[in-house]
Amino acid sequence: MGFAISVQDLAKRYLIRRSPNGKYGTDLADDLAARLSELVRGRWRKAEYDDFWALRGVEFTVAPGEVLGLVGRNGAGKSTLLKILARVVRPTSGEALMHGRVGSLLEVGTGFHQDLTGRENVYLAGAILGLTRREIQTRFEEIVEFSGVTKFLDTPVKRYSSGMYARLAFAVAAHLEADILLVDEVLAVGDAAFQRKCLGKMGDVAKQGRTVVFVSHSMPAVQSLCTRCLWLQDGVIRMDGTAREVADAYFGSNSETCTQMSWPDPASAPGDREFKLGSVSVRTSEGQGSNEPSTSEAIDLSFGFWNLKDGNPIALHAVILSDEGTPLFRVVASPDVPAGGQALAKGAWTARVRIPGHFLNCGFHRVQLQVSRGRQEVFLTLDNLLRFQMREDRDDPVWSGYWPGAILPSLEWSVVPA
Amino acid sequence: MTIDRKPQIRIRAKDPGFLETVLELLLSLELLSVLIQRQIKMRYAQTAFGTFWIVIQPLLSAVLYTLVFGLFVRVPTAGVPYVLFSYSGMVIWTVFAQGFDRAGISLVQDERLITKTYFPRLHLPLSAALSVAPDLGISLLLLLPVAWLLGFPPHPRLLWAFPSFIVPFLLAIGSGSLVASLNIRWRDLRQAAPFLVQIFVWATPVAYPLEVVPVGWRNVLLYGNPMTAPVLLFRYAVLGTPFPPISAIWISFGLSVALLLFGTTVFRSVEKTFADYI
Repeated sequence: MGFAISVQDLAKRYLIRRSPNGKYGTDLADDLAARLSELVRGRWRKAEYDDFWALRGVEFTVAPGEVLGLVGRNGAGKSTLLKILARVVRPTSGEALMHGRVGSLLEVGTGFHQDLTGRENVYLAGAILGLTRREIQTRFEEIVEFSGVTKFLDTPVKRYSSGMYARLAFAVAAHLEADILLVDEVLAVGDAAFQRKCLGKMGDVAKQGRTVVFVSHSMPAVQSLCTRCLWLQDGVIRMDGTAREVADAYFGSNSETCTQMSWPDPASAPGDREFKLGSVSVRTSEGQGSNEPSTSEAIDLSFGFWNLKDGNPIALHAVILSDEGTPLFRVVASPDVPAGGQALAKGAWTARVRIPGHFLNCGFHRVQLQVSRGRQEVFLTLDNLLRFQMREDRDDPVWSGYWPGAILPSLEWSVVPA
Repeated sequence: MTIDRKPQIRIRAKDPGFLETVLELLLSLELLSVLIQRQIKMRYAQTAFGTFWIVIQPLLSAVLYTLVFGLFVRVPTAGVPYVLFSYSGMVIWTVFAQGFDRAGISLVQDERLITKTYFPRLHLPLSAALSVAPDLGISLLLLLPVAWLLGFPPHPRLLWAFPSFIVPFLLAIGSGSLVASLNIRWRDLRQAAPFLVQIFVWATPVAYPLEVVPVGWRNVLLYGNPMTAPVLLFRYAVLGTPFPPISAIWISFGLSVALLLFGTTVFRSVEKTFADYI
């Protein structure tokens, strides 16, 4: 057998029903009433539907042992494709062949039954996968150990925390010896340590010659795990290549930047009763005018805000991330740096921090903002607040093309006779 | 460790054929047994009186019938105490009614399972209907000693009870699969189904003997209602009432197989849309 998965001209159409009163007809009574009223009016027409093609003409082959990443924006068809492979959704046309037993982990929770205990759910999941009771028993210990829910094995899973739930679900899917493992976005839950564990386990699974198809929004996860990557856009395959190639193209395709935002009306601004964000911006220092600073230029991050309570100990935390979402560093603007120090008076304030030149590498960067009272209580988190691009500095006499790395510091060497 | 039975899975838009479906069901009997166990466990786990309810529901109906037909109307039951007469009818009727009820809601109930994993979908109504079996066992544990006490000791003809259970199960699976798949589209069917069962019970000689029905109607009930023959057969087995006409038994069996085929065919043809609608 040369392949684990072979997909030919796969398409999926959803019919979205348009009904006159804008309601989706799911009641038999409604359906009948609608049909009857049409009949009375002397016209029997079919209910009107809008077509939505979630997938079209998708073709690819996956070799055994390959780890395939599926990326794309929301609604691009990644999850639909995974659901078709998991046989939860039937395609509208086309064909897919799979060689081996398929285990799937679609979103958190998979097919767990709320009223059953963790132990019973493991057996149920195994039976769904086509394993005998005996086969499950031989792997039971491993599963329990990996998930870390030993103490709660005989508790109904409805009492589990979402983290425990996800851990057990992943452990079951990964350990039940499926030849093909379909995984969707599970890494979004659970703590960082467990996420690493999951990634490691998926890598192991692949090393044993089993095939993994992995849908994720997290490019670093896809890059670290996948040997190959498919980029879906509007239901068609836009690119098929190595994870690195696809990641570059994927982020290159999205050249939109967002260098400033403002909220003139405090009533609708982010914040709480004591704090409102007014504006955020990133620009080249000293009014250079250019919206795209080069790597040798310093940039200023500015945050305008209203403090609505005297003596409010506000601390701003700006996190600079790579475009893939890896945090590079964090800067904290806290007026009370020695804890319990100066607190802010009521009024409008601007906080500014300068990131020096010869520090960030070229490419896109994102900014996340967190606001806390004192050092502890974070009450506001805004992801993807800003997105800006650093240009390569081609005026630099020593510039010689792109250097990999999150940062590009200009550090001094000393080379002396030993 | 490698597993040698690597299946070849083919995903297409077309519905799988009849034989393919049957083969798939037979290859996953392990799953069926896990699902049946789950159904049983959940029901007994939910209420402390789980077992109690299984006995009490048909018994209460029988007591009610005894009051109305045994005391007020005084329906003749040819020497059988009326309470025993109606309870024996209720025991076998409940196999169908409960099985149908559970199978009918099985898909809606397990929508999480349907939207997240693949398995032969027919296992859901199948396991739901078959999970009635332990209830039947418990009911028999009450019925048989009481019958003995009232002068109907065990007799070799009791073996006829087993074939009498076949038709109620087939009917429950067939009609349950049909209603389960329609329930996905039209949720309010769920309200209508129990009502239809209520009507159906009056068309079956559970609370009254067939002999009190005018001859013309008697044949309608005997040959048109597939539940009539199993009720009569079960009563014969337990109480020694007259054996039903053999032709009625075969027609009842034929009708229930036809309904089974019809229900599961509808089920298989709309199966592909389950995850889209839920």
